Amino acid sequence: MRYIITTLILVTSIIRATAQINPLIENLYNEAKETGQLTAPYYEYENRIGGIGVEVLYGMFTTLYDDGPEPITQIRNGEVTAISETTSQLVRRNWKINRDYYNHVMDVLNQLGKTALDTDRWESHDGINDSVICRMTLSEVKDGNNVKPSEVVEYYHHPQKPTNGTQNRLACVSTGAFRYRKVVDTSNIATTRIDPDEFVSAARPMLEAGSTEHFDTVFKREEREDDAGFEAHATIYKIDNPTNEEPMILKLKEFVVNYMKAHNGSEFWFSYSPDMTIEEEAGGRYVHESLRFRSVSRQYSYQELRNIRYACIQAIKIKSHCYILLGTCEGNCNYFDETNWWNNANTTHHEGSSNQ
Amino acid sequence: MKFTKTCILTCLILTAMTTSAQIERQMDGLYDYMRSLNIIHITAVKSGGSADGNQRACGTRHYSISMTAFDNDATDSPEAETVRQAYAHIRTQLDSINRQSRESYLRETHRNSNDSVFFIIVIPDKRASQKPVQLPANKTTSVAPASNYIRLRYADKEETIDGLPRRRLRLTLEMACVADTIGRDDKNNRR
Repeated sequence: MRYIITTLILVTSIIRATAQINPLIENLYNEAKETGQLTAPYYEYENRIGGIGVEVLYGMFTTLYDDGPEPITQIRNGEVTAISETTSQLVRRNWKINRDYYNHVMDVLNQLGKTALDTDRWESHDGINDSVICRMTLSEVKDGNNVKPSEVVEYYHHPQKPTNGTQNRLACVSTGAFRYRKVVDTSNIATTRIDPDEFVSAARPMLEAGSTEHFDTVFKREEREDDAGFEAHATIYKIDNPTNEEPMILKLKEFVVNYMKAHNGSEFWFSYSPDMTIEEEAGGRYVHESLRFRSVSRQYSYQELRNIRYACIQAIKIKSHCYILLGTCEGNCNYFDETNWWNNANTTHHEGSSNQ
Repeated sequence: MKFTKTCILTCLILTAMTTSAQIERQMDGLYDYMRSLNIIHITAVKSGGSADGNQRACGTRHYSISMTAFDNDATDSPEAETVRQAYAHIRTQLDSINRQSRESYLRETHRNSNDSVFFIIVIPDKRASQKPVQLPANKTTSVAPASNYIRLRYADKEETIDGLPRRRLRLTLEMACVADTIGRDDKNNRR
């Protein structure tokens, strides 16, 4: 009987924001990024829920059984076959990286646990197969009269042995994920709210100034449904040159972050995904990256959202073109996503829009 | 094929024996360390073993040691400091042992200057190489004590004693080990 093994590492990673992240956590993220061994796309992600919040997500998927000296084989069509030497080396390399990273994360968790408010950790060790579930609360924040976790770290790593026989060293899968969430000062969440018009007024000059430099198309569109009390206004900017996309998105991100800092305690939801997974939608839309800001928390119920007016700034890349939307809306937090505004964005002239 | 199987099985048993013996030595070291501390409130129980005191020969060894100390009104007492140092030392040892364990659960809190730790480590035995432990995704209770385990409890809490704020420190270390299980199985296998 041969013991077989396999390793394949896939790491998706998502990360951080401008709000201060625990330095140990930030290091973990940077190291995961720098290893460069990840075969799966990783993406960054910022999520601000009420107050300034940060979520760090990192996913790791590894086939892992053991790293014995026997040749690595796999089962195909019921037959055991060898894999190439190159693949074998890659598998063993990834296996080692995975082990090293697991050990490193555990060391960091031990260090964090010395001062963490709460730590719960379960571990299982079976030869080289280590499982762990760990959850920590690093700090708390006052929310009205309640105290709730502000920084939460979660990590799990769980190898699974192959169920179709031990010969298939490429079939076993291990999964791991690292998650860090930080939310600060939500005490004013119910009372302080960004003025949508003020936000749009502040953001517009930057985009208008950039229009001569970065954009070749700018058009406006308004919608109003008096019966439903619904109202939406937005300007969509199309970036003319792909080389201008990244600087412009970073500029917008910086603007949003600074604006939020100046309005601490406001409700908003902000996410930024530079390398998000390609998303194919019914209309043939491919979103490669996005920045979304809404001056309203997504924690509201649908009924509550019907009565809220909010500001919105979004940047998304559709079919290799990048568009920026700046506007206000009420009654539906997801309005700009759910309607066909984006699908029509590459049409300069359409009903309800005016070319500038 | 039969030869390969035998080799692998032998390797696994030897590995388990080596690990078990290593942990036993670490447990002995922890026990001796605790005994060497000159603490008034220490109680120690060491049970099992052979009549001549050869603990490694057969049977179950069970160590239970607890320490309690209070600080002075304003400063830490020497006893309290000893307990803190003992905890730090034992914790370092357990973190090391944990990597060789079969299963472990740690619950640790640091709130309002009150520290509390519960750490249980299930020591590997022969089963470890045959039956991997799978952690349930939503596990919320502690690891069930097995025959071989180390359990550490530590609390450093503020209390009001005789109307005065004092700190009470408690440290309990409990260790149980079925020392000769693996050896006995090994002999049976060889027959």
